[in-house]
Amino acid sequence: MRDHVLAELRQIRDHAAALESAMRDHVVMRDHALGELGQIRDHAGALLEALDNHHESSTSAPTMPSVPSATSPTLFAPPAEQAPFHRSGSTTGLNQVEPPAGWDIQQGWEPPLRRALSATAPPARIRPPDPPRPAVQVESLTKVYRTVRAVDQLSFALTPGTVTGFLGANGAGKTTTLRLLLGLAQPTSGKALVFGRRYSELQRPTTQVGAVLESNDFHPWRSGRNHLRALAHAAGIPADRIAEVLEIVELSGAADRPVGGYSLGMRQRLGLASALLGDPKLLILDEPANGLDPVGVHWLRNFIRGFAELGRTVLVSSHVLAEVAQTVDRVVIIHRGRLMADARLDEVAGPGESLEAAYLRLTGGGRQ
Amino acid sequence: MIGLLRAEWLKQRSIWSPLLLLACMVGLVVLIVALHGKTVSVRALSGESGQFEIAGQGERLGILFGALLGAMSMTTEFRHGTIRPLLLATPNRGCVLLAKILVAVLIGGVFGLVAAAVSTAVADVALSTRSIAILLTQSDVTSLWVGSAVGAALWAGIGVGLGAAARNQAAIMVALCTWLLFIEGVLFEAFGVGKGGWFLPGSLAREAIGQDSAALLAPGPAMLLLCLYVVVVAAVGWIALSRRDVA
Repeated sequence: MRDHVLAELRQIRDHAAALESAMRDHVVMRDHALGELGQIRDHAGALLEALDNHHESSTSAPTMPSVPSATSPTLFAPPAEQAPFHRSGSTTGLNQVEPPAGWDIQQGWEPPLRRALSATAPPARIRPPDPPRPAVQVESLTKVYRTVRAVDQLSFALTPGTVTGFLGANGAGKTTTLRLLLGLAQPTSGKALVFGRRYSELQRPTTQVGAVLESNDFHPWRSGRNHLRALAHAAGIPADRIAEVLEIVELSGAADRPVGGYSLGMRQRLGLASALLGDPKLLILDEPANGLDPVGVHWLRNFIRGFAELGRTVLVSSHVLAEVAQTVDRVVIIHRGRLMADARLDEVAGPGESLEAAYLRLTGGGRQ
Repeated sequence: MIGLLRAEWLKQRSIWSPLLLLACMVGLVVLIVALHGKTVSVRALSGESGQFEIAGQGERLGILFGALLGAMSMTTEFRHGTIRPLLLATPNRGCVLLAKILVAVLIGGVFGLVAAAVSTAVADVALSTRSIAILLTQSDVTSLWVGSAVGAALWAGIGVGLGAAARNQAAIMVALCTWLLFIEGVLFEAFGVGKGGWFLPGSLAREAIGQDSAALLAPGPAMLLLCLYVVVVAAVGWIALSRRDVA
């Protein structure tokens, strides 16, 4: 009996916590739902604690053991009102949760448990939480330059928290797609959305998206620090963030030198620092490993993995398949502007097949 | 907008281009005014209009270098690719253009002021060395300086608009030099004052300093008309910047 109750209570508590977490992004009725769910979670936690304490202090019993008296000061304060759940001021301290009024220990645990279970069912007026919004959503995206269809009816979406490789040969339409996504170019038709909106419609876009499209987007006479300062001013980012991002990309020592004297690896890192200024949730990198030496590639790989481990999303365009295979969770493969594959890395390649072989199979040899 | 203005101001301060332009301008002003002072006849320089002409040489170069500065402030973004991170940080292209125009107008004004001041000083020295009595009054000098500053400032705004519209730095700079140093002079001679020559943008900048006001527009209307040029060119630049893709 006790084990059964414990299991059910744990279920209630976990369910409530999960619902509470999901509801945080839900605007309609969020406060109300959060209040109720918080009560459920706290109450379930209190019950569990009571049971655990009881288990430690009591001897074995064939049926539901007696629990400490409701008047005992160590666990429960005297009942004050006839409310099913009453939570004291703090939302975090389970020890401060008072027992439900009218709690009758001798009658067992059934009534409050049923009440708790019924309370966990979402009220009819509360819609279930929406599925997570894609970090990137591309729908029937098409870009035509005079007679050339650079991107042709391209559709894919990125799940938050993943590292996705955006693969294709030179001229396949990768960079054009990224420019469309970032609002630098206008699509001929279709949609390219970031967190459900066009890039130009994002509020403070640098706090949501960081992007590096070219490794050389700097004035050669300007220092790395001043480059970042200018971007920080333009984006409304506090100046103290500059030292942080320089530290992250390990460029603090060279920050005051003109960028013209930087190596390619240093420029790549300065580009990353620019993208990280707003502490974004999504990072878009176009051929970031181009021209990097093995140390630079290793650093970049660790950086991307570390970024994704924070629960953030990365879209990395590349044609260096061996490198991509070590870094990404998913791949989106395009060829002549069209989608060839959008799947997990292990789904794209067959058993024993390398990513390169799968890529060549999907793109018919990979030539444009 | 304040952040964008600070960003533009920082950009201008953090590279050597504006200072190099300023140095080139000062050098050219000194050279040209000194040559005029040496070569033009004493008789021509003895009159007030002759002296105004030699002292006003700096204004011509002021508006040229102001325009070049404005054009470079925009075309440099395209040339070095910094337009990409800039537009990612601030997708509102109209605000980007406006901030660039305002900062360029400010620095262009300084260029015009420096050009006029250097020109006046060198003209004063050149005339003195040839024992020519200086007839320019304080009012003339003030008019020259203010007109030169305003003319160069507004031409800097025109330069930014042209840069946004055309994007190619070399082409814009060649076009500006060609227009201001050659084409406009030819057109002015061809049309003359009575046939609309006064309406040309370079002429308006000359009129802003108050030179030969009997034949041209007064400084006030000339400045207003030049402002209209800035607005029109900026609008063209804004349309081009908004509609064209960034490579």
